[in-house]
Amino acid sequence: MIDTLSLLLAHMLLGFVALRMFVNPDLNVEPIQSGRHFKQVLPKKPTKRAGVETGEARPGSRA
Amino acid sequence: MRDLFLIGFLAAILLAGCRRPFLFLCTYIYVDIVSPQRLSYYLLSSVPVSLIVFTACFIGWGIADDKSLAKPTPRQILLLCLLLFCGFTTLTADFPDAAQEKWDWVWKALVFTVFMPVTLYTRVRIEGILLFMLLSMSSIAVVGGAKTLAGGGGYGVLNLMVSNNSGMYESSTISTFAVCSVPLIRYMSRYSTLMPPSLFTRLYWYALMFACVLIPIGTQTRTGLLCIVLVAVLELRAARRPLLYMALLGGIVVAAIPLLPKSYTERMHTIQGYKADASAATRLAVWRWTIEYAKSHPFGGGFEAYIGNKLEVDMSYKTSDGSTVRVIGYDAGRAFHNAYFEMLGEQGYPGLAMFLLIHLIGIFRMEIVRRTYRKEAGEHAWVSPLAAALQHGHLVYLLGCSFVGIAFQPYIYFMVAVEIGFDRYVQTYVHKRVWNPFRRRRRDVEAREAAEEQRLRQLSDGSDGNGDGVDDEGAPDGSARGDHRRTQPRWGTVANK
Repeated sequence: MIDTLSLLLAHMLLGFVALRMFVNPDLNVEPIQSGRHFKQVLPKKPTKRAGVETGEARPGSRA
Repeated sequence: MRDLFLIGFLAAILLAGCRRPFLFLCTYIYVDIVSPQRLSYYLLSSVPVSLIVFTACFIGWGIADDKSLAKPTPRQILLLCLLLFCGFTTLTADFPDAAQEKWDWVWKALVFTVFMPVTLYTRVRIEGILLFMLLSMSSIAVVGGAKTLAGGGGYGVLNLMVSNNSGMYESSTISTFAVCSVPLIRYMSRYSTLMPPSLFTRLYWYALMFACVLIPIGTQTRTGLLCIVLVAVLELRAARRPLLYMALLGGIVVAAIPLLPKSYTERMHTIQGYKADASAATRLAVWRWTIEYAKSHPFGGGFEAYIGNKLEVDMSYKTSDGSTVRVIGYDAGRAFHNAYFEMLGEQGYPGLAMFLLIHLIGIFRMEIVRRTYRKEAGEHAWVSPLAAALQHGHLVYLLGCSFVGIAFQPYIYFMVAVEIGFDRYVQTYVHKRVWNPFRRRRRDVEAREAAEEQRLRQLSDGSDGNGDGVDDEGAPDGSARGDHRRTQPRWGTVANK
């Protein structure tokens, strides 16, 4: 029982790996990285102005 | 039923190999480790499966694979020399029939080791081969581990599916290779791309690691215990939190000792009193005999040369009152029980030197790769851990083989082949350069090419055939140009002032 189950498990996993290799596009050719890396530029966060949006007093105001 | 299942599996994978020839190599590894022909009762046992797959590997590579990386490395040349030398010692063997029997599988293992690195030029291939090695070994280790847990262990008692105690199914051999696979299993649990880390895969890998550690307990081999200790120490190098690792390890040891079977602890105690132990005393006698034998046969006595030994075994021991009881036994035809002495006795000093060079260079190269990429992050983060895993596995083998005659076991040669292929892969595809004494610098190559070109031009012109290496404009020849280029100052230096 132990023999059969462990054999089944090992063969199932071997089959899985064989299948993964079979369908893998990089099996025969190593994907060459371009070597060019670009810094991601995200849109700038809009700066919040003191006063109306943040509730802080503007410099020079009396409040 | 088991026969039909094994045949079905083999047929399916060979069929897939017709489309992807690299799968033939994986099949060969599977056939070599699992030996389905030995597990089956009648169908496969009558077919030379290993030879068929072996031939298919070469044909598949010849037809479909990239051969631009087929240039041999120094270790492949060493392996080839070892193969030729083994062939020579087989021809001049002391026991030709026995030597021929061993040669029949040794040559296949060595030829395959020379050949395999040529095919390992992508990460998927390297990983695929390692996965096939580990999973094939798991078919034996899981059985052993499960039976040990169920209480079916014992020295020479643990049933690993086949009745004959040879090849990977021999208890000390499987103990050594199961433990030497632990670092690779640990690597796979973290970095595998073919079996990406997930809850299920991690669970499986950790369970397999546990089964591998259980094998030496189930087979009650002292070799296995030493290997476990070594792998625990070596893995400390790879641990992210060494203190936590040591604490965990200590906890596991303290918790496990009371659960170990009494027969196991008794057998392990014989490591200390090895002189009174018949097995250990016989080994010491065989090793002494081998040293003497090598003096008269410096080129070895061919495979299975141990058959000719006649031993006087000293099993003297001290009693509790301090007196020594002298016990002398006699034995003959005892195996080497040590890969180094096996090489010395069978292949002589040249064979031993080649064996040591092949393995030590492998460990050295893996250390260089490991150190070079230690701090690498991102896409190459897997390089250093794989180098460390291969190196640790190899070191465990080198310890384990001090007590078992496994100098030509194919499993370790597969590992050597993966090391060679991986080393070359790193130098080809990973941009950060690893130190390599055999690498030719581009500027030297360019200088040599320029010199060659110049020489050809002079020959074809025939105007300046005096061979002084100076052309019509008085420019220096190619090699001088290379030197000249080498001495050019870098931008910003003031070397010439």
